[in-house]
Amino acid sequence: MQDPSVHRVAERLEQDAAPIQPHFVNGTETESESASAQLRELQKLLFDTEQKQQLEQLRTEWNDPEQITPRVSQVLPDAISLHSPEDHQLTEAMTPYVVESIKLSARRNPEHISDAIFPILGPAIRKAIAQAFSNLTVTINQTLQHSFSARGFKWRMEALASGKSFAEVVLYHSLVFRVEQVLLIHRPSGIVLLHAVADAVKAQDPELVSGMLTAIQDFIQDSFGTGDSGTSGFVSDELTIQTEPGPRAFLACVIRGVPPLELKEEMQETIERIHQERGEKLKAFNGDSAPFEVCRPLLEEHLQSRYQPFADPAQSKAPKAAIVGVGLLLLALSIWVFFSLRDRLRWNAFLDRVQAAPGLVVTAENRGWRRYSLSGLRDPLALDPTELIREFKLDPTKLDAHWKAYQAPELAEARAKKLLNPPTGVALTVRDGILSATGSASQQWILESKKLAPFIPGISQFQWNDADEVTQLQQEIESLSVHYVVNESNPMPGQDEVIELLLKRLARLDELAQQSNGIVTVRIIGHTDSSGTKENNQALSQGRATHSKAQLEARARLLKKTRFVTEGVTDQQVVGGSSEANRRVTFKIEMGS
Amino acid sequence: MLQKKICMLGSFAVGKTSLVARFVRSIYSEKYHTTVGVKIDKKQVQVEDKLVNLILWDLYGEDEFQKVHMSYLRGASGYLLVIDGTRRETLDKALVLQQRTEEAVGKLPFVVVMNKVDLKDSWEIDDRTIEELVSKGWPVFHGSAKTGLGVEEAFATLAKHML
Repeated sequence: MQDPSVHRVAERLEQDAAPIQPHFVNGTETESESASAQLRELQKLLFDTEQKQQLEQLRTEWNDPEQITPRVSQVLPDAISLHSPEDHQLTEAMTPYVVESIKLSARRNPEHISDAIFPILGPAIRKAIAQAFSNLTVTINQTLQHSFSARGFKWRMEALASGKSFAEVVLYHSLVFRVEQVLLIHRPSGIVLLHAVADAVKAQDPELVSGMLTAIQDFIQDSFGTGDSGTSGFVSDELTIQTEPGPRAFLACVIRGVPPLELKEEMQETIERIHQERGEKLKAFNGDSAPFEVCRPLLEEHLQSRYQPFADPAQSKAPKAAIVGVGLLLLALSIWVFFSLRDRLRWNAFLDRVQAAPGLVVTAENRGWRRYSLSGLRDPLALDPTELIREFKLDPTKLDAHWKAYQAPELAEARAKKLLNPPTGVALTVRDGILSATGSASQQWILESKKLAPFIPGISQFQWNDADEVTQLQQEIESLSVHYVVNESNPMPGQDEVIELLLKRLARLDELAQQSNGIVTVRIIGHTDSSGTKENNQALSQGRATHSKAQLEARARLLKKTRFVTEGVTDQQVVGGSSEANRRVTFKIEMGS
Repeated sequence: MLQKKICMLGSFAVGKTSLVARFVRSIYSEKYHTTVGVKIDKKQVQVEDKLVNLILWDLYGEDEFQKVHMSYLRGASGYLLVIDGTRRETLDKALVLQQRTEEAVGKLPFVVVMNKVDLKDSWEIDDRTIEELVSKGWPVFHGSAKTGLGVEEAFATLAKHML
C-alpha cells in the first residue's frame, strides 16, 4: 500500500510543473535543460517503482523493532563515543538506569557486586582509616602543644567553665577555618535540597534552618534593596554563613573561623555546575529533593578545615621555655614543700617537748607562714622555750612567746634547791609536798632548811633523811680496829690515827642521833690471839675493851647521844692471818631511840 | 520525602502561632516574629501513602500587609488563612489578604481556619457568613488553640490539595 503523503507530494509537483513551462521561453537554454533534469530526477524518485519499493522497505524496517534494533546496536557505541563528555545530558539520562541496574544486580546476586568492588574496598578503607588517624594525630599534637603553655592553662580553665574537653577547646582555638555545613537551598521556596555536615558537628534541623536563612535573605533584600542576588552571607563572632546565589538555588556554607578567599570561587563553580547538571530538575522542582542526591559529593567537597600549623615541640622555643619554667616551678614547689614539712616536724617535736616540760603550760600555739607563736603559763624556773627552740634547729627570732608567770608545783624541788642551796652530797626530793633531804649536811644547814622549806611554794614540810649516812658511818666504824701489844691492854704504837678517825665518825653519828633524837650505842669488843689460856685471853680481851672505852670516853666528851659498852671475846672469834691481826679491839654500832 | 512550603496568614493576634504550636516542630522563638517577621516551623503529614514535610512559614500578623511579607510568600505551595471568630474585622482583613496573596503568587491551594471555636458564644461571625465562604469553594475549618481542634484536619486537607 502506497503512503498517502507520497501521493499528495506527487500531485502537488504535477500542478506546479505546468506554470514552469512559460519560463523556459524567456530563459536561456542551459537553464531550461537543468530544470528539466531536476524534474525528471524528482519524477523518478517519486514515481519509479523500484525506488518506491526501497522506501517502503526502509519504512517497514524502521517501524519493526526486531529489524531496527540490530542496526541501532551497531552504531550506538560509536554514537556514545562521539558524544561530548562536556555535555552531561547523556550522563543525566543514564544515571537512574545505572543506579537501578546496580540495585537490581545487588539484590539478585550480591557476589557480583562484592567481587567488583573488592579491589577498591581495601584501599578505600585504608584511606579512611589513615584520614581518621591523621585527624586524631592533629588533635593529639594540638593538645600536647598547648598543654603546658600559659595559653593552654587559660584554655584549660575555659574547658572547665564550658564543660567541653580540653582537646575540643584547643582545636577550636587552633582552627583557622572549618566548613561545618553546606546547604543547597531552593531559591523561591527556601526548601533545602541537600545538606552536608562535617563529622562531629551538631546541626540544627536543616529544613528549618534553610527556611529561616531564605527568610532573612528576603528580609534584607526587601529592607535594603540588595537585588535578586541576595546577600553574600552573614558574619557573627564565631561563624560566617557564606552564600552563593544561583538562578534557582543557592549554596550556603556555615564556616567556623575565617573562610579562605578561594572558597567563594569554589562555591561559584559548584552552584554553576549544579544548575548545569540539574537545571531542569530545579525548574520543575515540586518538593521532591531526591533528584539532587547525586550532587552530594559536590557539597561534601566543601567540608574542609584548616588548623594553625603544628610546631614541632623539638624546634619550638615556647614549649621548651614553658617546660623549663614548669620544671623550675615544680622544683621550687618541691623545695618549699620539703622545708615546710621539715619545719612542721621540728615544730611539732619542739611543741611536744615544751608541753612535756615542767613549769610550762601551753594554752595556744600557731605555726604561721613566717612566724611561730606560743602563749601560756611559765614558771620562772621552767625551761626557756626561746632557748629550747634552738635545739630543734628552728629560728628563735621567729618565735613570739607570751607567758604569764606562775609557780608550778612540779618545780618545787628546783625551787627548793635554788633557795636552800644544799651542800654537795645532799639530794633533795619533793613528794606530796614533803621536801626530803638525804646525804651529808651540816646541822646548821638542816636547821635552816627546816625553817625555810615551808615558805617554798609547793612544799609544806622538810624532812631530813639520814638513814644512808648513818649506815655508811656504821659500816666505816665497824671496819676499824685498834691493835694491841702481845699479852697487854695497851695499843700498839701508831694506833692513834685509827682512834682519831673513829672519833670523827662517832662525832658525826652523834650529831645525827641528836637530830633524830636517837641513841648511839658503841659496843667495844676486845680480842686476843690464840696463844695463852682461855681464861687469860678472856681477861685480856675484856681488859683491852675496857682500855679502849676509857680512851674514847676521855676524848669524846662532847658526844651527847653516844654511850659505850665493852665485851671481851676469846679465841673462838680468831681471824685468819698473823697473831697481831687478832690482838685488837673492834666496834659494833647499835642505833636506838 | 516531599517538602512543601506553606504560609500562615492572618491579622494580628488571631492566634496563628498558638493554634499550631503543639503540632509542629520548632527551634525558633517568637522573637523572630517581631524581628524578621516570620518564624519557620515544620509539620509532617501523611497523605494516603506519602509522607509530606510541610515547612510552615508563620508570618507575623500585621493589619497592614506590607511588601516584606509578600516576598515571604514566594515559592509557597499553599497557605492557611486564620481568622479570629470573635473579631469580625479579622475576616475582612483575611479576605483582603487572600486577594493580595492571589495577586502576588497566583492561585494556590489554601484552607481557612476559624479560630477560637472554644469561645463560640462570643463570636462576631455568624454561621451564614461562614456558609458564604464555603459556597465560594473555600475549605473552612473550626479551630481552637485551646483544644487543638481542627488543626490536623486543616493541614491534611491543605496537603492533599497541594499534591
